[in-house]
Amino acid sequence: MNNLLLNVANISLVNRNQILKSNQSFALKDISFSLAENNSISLIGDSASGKTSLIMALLKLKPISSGKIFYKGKDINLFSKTELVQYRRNIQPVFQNYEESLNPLLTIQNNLYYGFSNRLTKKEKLLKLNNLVNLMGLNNNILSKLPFQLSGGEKQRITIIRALVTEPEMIILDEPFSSLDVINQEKLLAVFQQIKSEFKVSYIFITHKIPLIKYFSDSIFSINKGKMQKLENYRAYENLKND
Amino acid sequence: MKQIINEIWQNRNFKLGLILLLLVIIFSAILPNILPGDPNFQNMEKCYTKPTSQHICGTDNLGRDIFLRLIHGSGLSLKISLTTSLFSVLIGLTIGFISGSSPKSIDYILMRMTDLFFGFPKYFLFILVLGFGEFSLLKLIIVLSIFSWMETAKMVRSETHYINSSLFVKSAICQGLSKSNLFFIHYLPNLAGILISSYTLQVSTIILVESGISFIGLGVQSPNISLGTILNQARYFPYDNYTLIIFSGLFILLNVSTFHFLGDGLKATTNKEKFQK
Repeated sequence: MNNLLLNVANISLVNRNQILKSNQSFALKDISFSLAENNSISLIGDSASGKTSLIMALLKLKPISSGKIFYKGKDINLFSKTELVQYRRNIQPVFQNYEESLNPLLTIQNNLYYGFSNRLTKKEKLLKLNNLVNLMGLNNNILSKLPFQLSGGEKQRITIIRALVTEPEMIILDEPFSSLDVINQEKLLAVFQQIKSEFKVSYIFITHKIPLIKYFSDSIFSINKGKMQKLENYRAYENLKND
Repeated sequence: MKQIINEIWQNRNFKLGLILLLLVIIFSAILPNILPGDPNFQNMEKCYTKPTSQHICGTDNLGRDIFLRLIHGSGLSLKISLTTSLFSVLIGLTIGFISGSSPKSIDYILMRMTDLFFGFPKYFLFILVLGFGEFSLLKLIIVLSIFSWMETAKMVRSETHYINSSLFVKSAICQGLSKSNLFFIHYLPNLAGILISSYTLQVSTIILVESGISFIGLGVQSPNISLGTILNQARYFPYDNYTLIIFSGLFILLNVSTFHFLGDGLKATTNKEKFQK
């Protein structure tokens, strides 16, 4: 049994209407799940079901209203500033909206470069960057381009590279296949498997592409209107939707 | 970077602004150091001379060479407006950025303070502050800077709000970038368009404001010369001194339009929406 990496206990997140303060809605309600090292979980849900709110809550970019998130047994609310920085470096997001995920005025190299550990020399950083670019099946000359010169698929892969530069223990992938064709989806899937086995990375995998989940997940959850439910297998989601 | 420089270079307004800037530099920075003669030298035998080869813009009521006075005055007007605009943009950037990236209470206080500054009747305050005590250039620059940062602050604040919510900043936070790195790597390049256009437009506004203040006698004082003081002297003898009015007006127009064209060109080319698709 692998060690527990992340334990989410009954977290809720309330969206408050800025004008009508009394008008509240739950973005997340009593969410609980856990993730062990080198394991993967998948999250299926329609748009506006609370997936992005969950990512923001896990990264402590949005304050939760109740519940607790434990990382390696420690409550993330009790983290010092340094611990929080390290925690966020260990849990990297790959956002669905890759168009907005890259600074439009920085070259791809500069978009990626600053995430490397300061202990590395410039030469080591560039070497690692080139390796990661090759791993994603991209050409090295992409590094000198600006984001608007890249195709959607290239940008998406660049955002995945950015998640890898901090050498994380866990990656949250929000619709990572959304702008890739079937061949590139398969290639990327193989890369994810390779990363998982090489770097011992855990995944939280958020997708609409249900058949892909079976290659990936140790457990599957559905999320709907902020509520989460564990599913036996990916087919159970279809049944759930039909009910 | 190459891409951005290419974009800027292809903009017509910017090119025109650059040509005018070259003229401004020649008139206001190079010629005053090359041409001999004292702009305050009076020759009462040559009052109100029409433009000649010796005095290409003619002379004024005290027989002083108008061209020499204009190039020296233009230099001082530019120094004042360039320095004042720099200070006002820096104040605007600081207040706007703090406001945009702080909790709501601080944001509220800073923005109401900005509204208060917006509400002050500027010229009344200029008269009030500059009319008392001894005149100094530093005092003029400080007073002008204090009352001209508000537009920049409002624009920087709203852009900072937009950048705060962008996913590349959230990703950078997750990568552990320090606040200063976040500012210099992500915020400043995205605010650069606003700051550059704000600065250039501010320069042209300050040239006009300084000329106005000097025109009413509260700005630059003799023996210093600015375009406003020259225009002020012209009003005493408008019919005898018409060359003074025309040429000082043309110099003000040249300086103001130069920075307007540069500002417009830079605003259009540093618009980051161009780099988003």
